[in-house]
Amino acid sequence: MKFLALISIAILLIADLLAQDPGMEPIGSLGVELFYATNDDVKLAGDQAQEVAKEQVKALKGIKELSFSDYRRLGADRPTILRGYESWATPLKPSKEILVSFQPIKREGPGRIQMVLEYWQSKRKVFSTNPVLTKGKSLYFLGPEWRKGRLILAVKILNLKD
Amino acid sequence: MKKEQTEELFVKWVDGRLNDEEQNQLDELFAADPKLEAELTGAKEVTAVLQSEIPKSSEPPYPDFFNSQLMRKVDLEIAAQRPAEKVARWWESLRWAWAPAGALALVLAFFAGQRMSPQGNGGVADRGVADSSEKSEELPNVYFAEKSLTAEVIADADGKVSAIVVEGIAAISDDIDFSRADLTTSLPARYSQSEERRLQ
Repeated sequence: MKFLALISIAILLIADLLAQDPGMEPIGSLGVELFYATNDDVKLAGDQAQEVAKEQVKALKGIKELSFSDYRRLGADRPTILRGYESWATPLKPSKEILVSFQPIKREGPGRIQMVLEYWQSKRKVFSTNPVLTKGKSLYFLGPEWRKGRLILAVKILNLKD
Repeated sequence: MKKEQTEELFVKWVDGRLNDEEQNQLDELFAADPKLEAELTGAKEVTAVLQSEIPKSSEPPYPDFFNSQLMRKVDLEIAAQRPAEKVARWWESLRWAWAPAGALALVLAFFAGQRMSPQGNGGVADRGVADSSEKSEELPNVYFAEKSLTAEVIADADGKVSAIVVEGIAAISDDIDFSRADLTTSLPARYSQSEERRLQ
């Protein structure tokens, strides 16, 4: 009797494993941050905006096109990267004014992966791109104007299964 | 006498256009078949009545206006036919060039594809200004939803993409407060599907 019960449980476990979609397997996480950059009054970003770490400011100012006098962090999200499905980041939660969708294309070696990234604004897709992202290295997007400044999106692989 | 010849004689007799020889031939036919003369005489009477009631021709009202309109219609018809004829002739004259032109178009399309997408990804809107050395091979392509947008892909010292500068995106209204959820518009369908899948 016990033997039959064990066999039944084993069959159920195997069936459950087979039923899981391999595309839904998490393979890492993506860090998506949104910054406000301005040469004007940085207080225009609002009270919710946070100071930006010095290292981050240094990295931003190191790129001529992204160099502004002041920066503020407006929000961040750390969604899971699924092996075979599209995932979304909402860096301005609870607002969904700006969304980022992403999906892996292929591995490009240890700690590197090519992805499809799509930038959505006001619920409409604005552009998409297919960069090879390296774990720990930020990719910046200089985005739209807002309150006498520009929005900058930073995307970085935080974790990636090898 | 053949049937066609007799019929021609009958029509001429009804119209009163017989010569002497034809009249003699018809008289012989009448002599052979007395009923024939009676039938043709009936037909001749009907023809006479019709001719008396319907004039051979009549002048149209306002003849000058009628003629001018008729000529105008004719001119328009001729003018409408001319371009079509011209086009047909033009295509016909180029028929010999179709094959080499097609081959040239294929070659140009091939080279255009090479220039637009060195990595073979296709459909590139803009590829930026990074250096053209080997390092730029892994720079991404940027695809836009609107033609008015432009992008500049910036690479670091290692040739890896570090930033994408996108110009032309509609400014976000200064009134928008990101700390509040905007519930007035629906989210993209793909976002909703992804959330449903994630929560299953």
